[in-house]
Formats: sequence, structure tokens, C-alpha cells
Amino acid sequence: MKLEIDQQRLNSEIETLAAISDAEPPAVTRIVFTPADLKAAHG
Amino acid sequence: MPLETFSRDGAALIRGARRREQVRTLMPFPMAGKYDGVVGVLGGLEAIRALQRSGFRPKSSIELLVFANEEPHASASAAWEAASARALQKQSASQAADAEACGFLGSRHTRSQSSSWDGIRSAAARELLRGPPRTPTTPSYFPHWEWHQCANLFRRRAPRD
Repeated sequence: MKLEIDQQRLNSEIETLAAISDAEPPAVTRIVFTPADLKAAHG
Repeated sequence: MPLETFSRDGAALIRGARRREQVRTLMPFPMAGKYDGVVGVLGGLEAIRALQRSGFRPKSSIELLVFANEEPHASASAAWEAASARALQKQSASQAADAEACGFLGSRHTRSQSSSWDGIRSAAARELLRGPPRTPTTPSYFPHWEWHQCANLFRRRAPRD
């Protein structure tokens, strides 16, 4: 069995979510039910 | 595809999809880092994906559990850990000793007498349904609905194949 982590996909998901924030990077703020939270939830 | 489907023994099988809805509750606090909360879930999800891609077929279900508001004392995750440790006690004295030594059994408040996996699930669900601790250790920006949202995960009936 050969296990391979898809680093590109994982990093992409993390970066995508990190970009949805009410705070300036590198901080991330997504309070529940705020537009940022809803955007992260539904794209 | 739903977040989790259920095997015949009722255990959840995480199959991806809806992950963003899952992640939405995982920002632990304002001004967090990009890895806070999120990577713990996505990392576990990717580990399961890797197993699936490899063709690995586990004998038992693999579950990815996510608890919101998991750091405060008496959280659902603590209840889960305590109940899991009880199950370990039934299996191996040495494992139980290790669990006790490292505090894995949790506090008296969160300990459960349950030893079956159904019991563990129920113990965690009960802890979730208790709601936030009476003496909140988390700021008010964690609304109670998160607890109920998590509790719903355990309320779902497992569809039978």
C-alpha cells in the first residue's frame, strides 16, 4: 500500500479558506453567520 | 454526497464533500492563523482520502469527528476521549494504565462508564446536549447554536444499507 498526501490540494484548501476573512492577512476571522462565514460555507 | 454516510454498524464514513460547511465552525477565535482549527480537519480528511486512493479497505469504519468549541473543560471531545479510554480499559490493562497516566481519562466530570462505541457516541452526544459550561471559558462570540449543530450530528439516524 502506497500512501500519498495530495499536498497541493490540501494547501489549496487551506489557502482558499484563509482568504475568506474579515481580518487582514495573515490573520483569519470568520465569525459564524457573518458574510465571511457564509461565503466560506457556500463558496 | 453527504458529509458522512453510515456503515452497517452505524459508524460514520467521511467521504468528503460539504467540507466547507464543516470547516466554517472551526475558526477558533477572531484573528486566528490560517491553520487554526482548519488544518486539523482538512489534515484528517486528506489522510482518509489518501487511504481511499491507495485502495485500502479498513476492517472497521474510520471516522473523522469534528467538535466545535472543543477546548473548554467538559467539552464533547473530552467526553469522547474519556469514553474511548473506558473502552481501552476493557481491552488492555497496559493501555488503560497509559491512558490514566497521561490524563486521557479526563476529569471526573467528563468520565463515562460507557465502553461500547454506541455508548461512546451517546456519551459525547449527551455532553454536547448539555450545552456550554456553566462557567463559560470561551468568549461570547461562540453562540450556543454551534453546540446544537454538533449535537445534530449524533442525533442522525444511521441509514441501513
